[in-house]
Amino acid sequence: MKQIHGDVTPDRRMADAIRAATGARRSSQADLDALQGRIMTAATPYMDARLSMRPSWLDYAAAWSRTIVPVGLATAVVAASCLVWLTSSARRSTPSNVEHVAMLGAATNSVSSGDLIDLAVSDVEVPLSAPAARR
Amino acid sequence: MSFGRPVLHSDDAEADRLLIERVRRGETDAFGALVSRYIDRASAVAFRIVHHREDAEDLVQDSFLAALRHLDDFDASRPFWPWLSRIIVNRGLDLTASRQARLTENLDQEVLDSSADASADAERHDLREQFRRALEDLPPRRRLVIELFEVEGLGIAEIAAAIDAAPATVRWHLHAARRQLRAALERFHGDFR
Repeated sequence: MKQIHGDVTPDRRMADAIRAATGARRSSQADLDALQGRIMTAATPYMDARLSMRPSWLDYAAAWSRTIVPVGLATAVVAASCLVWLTSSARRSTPSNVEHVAMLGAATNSVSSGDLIDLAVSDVEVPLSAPAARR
Repeated sequence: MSFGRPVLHSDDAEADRLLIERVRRGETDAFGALVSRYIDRASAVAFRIVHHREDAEDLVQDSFLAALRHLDDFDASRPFWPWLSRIIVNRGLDLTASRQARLTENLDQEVLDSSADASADAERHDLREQFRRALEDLPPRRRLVIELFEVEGLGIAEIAAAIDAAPATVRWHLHAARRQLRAALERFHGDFR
């Protein structure tokens, strides 16, 4: 049988001579099966060790805890920040000085209706002393 | 013995990868399947190194167990056979270096056994002995290359992977081994047929 392996061709006479000189022991299927049985027996401790290294649900929980704890802490910090921001925002939403002056002026009839309209559309804060300037 | 399929296909590599993943998870059946896939080839290569059946079986067992122990270091995206064959070759060459005396003794016995048929005569035995000595005079790696190529039918690339050398180096070993053996072969042409 001639086979081509790239640019080198096996030499049948050489192969026969080597076989004759060294023997050409082909293992039977029974030999191979027996050898495989030996290998599997010898491999049992290694396979058991691998099996014991397999992660259990506790390992998953432990692995997740390394993620969940920091995420939980970060969430708590963000929530606390939101609460602080909302509180200060609520405080800011109380009537401004302008509204206060306008309401006081209207209630005491000390501010003319034209000035009240000006106050309502004005962005400029009026000093608290403004209602005192009676017209 | 010839393997009949010296080149590994991508399907083989994919099947190996799946088996190796399962072995890593501790599935004994998967390791059994992996052993079953390669035990024939492994035995042939091991025999070509140690030239003794029992030693070859020990070498195959030892190599499969070494592969199992170091499986986590193996890159599963690569084919398994070249890695396993390298383990067999490295361990086998170490073994032959340490058991040279025993090897010679067993080879003598094998040759006597194989030539014990009725047609064997002293001259023929002498010729065969001389060729065997020429073969033994080859450096271990070179001898392995020519035996794997000529007798087992492995390709240049597969041998290169097994002995961890470049294909050009394998070709050079093959050429040098043939040159060294050719004289003995020509002298005794016909006596081995």
